[in-house]
Amino acid sequence: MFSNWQFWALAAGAGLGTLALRIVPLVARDAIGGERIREFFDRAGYGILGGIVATSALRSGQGLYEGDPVLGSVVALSCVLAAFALSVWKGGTIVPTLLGLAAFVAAGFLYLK
Amino acid sequence: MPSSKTDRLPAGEDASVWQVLLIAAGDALVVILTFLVMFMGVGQLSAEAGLNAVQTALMTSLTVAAPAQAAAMQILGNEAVASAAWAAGVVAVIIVNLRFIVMVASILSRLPETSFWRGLGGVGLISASSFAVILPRLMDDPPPRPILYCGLVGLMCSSSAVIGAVAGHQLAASVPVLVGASLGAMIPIYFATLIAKQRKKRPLMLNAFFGALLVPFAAPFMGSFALLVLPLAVAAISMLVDQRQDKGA
Repeated sequence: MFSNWQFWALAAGAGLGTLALRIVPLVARDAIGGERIREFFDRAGYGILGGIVATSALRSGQGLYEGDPVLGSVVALSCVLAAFALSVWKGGTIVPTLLGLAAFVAAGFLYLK
Repeated sequence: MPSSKTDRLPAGEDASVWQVLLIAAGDALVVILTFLVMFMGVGQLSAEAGLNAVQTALMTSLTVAAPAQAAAMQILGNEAVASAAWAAGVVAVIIVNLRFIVMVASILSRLPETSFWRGLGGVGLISASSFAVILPRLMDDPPPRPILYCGLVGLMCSSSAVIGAVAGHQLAASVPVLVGASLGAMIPIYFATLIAKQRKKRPLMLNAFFGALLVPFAAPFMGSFALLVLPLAVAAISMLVDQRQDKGA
């Protein structure tokens, strides 16, 4: 069993440690001010975004389709791709998100039924 | 969510806080709704690990990272590291959140020069999800008072995470599987549409594509580092390729 101070140390240490990570680029701002550095971080940022999309879609699909994680992954990724394609084709974010989500919910409902 | 409504708003520093708040709330709405449910699970884990509600709120408000917090709670439950479990938990959170450095650097490069404290107010609560909302907005349709905008998006996301975590801690709340999974799926679907807003910028699309392709494959071996290392590597390679093509042309 842990003492109370250890829980406080964990909560404060994790929070302040993460805050410190956010401060690193702030204090090194001059070093990241150039146009090429900005271009680099834009690209890295979109790589991270792509990674977040894929991993969180897989997690959601596998969480819903516990008995068949491959099917869950396929369904979730298909819904994400459909929303992406619709957004590229027609523009906007709200309608493609709602349609992609509706497809995911409908597929999940059918699976659980 | 980003909309063309901002075209009618005054640009620059003359926009009111209320106007910026409305834009930030609209953009962050999906994340706020999702965090309210997603962080209930974090609150439950935290209660099981022995943290009280205030400790849970403190940790969540500054960390705003469900995977990192879940990892810390898992370590608390590991008897092998019992005596130094809190320190191991802190290290785990910091390692999982190293990616925030790149995210904040990416956002900062699109914000105007400002003092350290104003900058900290703008990016001090950035999380993966608020980053996903903020970066496309800054690149596609920059809001008035962008530092305030970033700070408000971060604050709203952090606040909803705290509410969700404390609710999960106090109520031991659980939501139906379909509801939880659907809210979880809302994040990638919405973020994919945010990526699509930059469809005319081929390098960004390519980096997003390779990030989506490589990170899930590498995650089982590299853990949270996959989301930090691989996008940086792909960005570096794509910059080098473009540089060589420019020289060759």
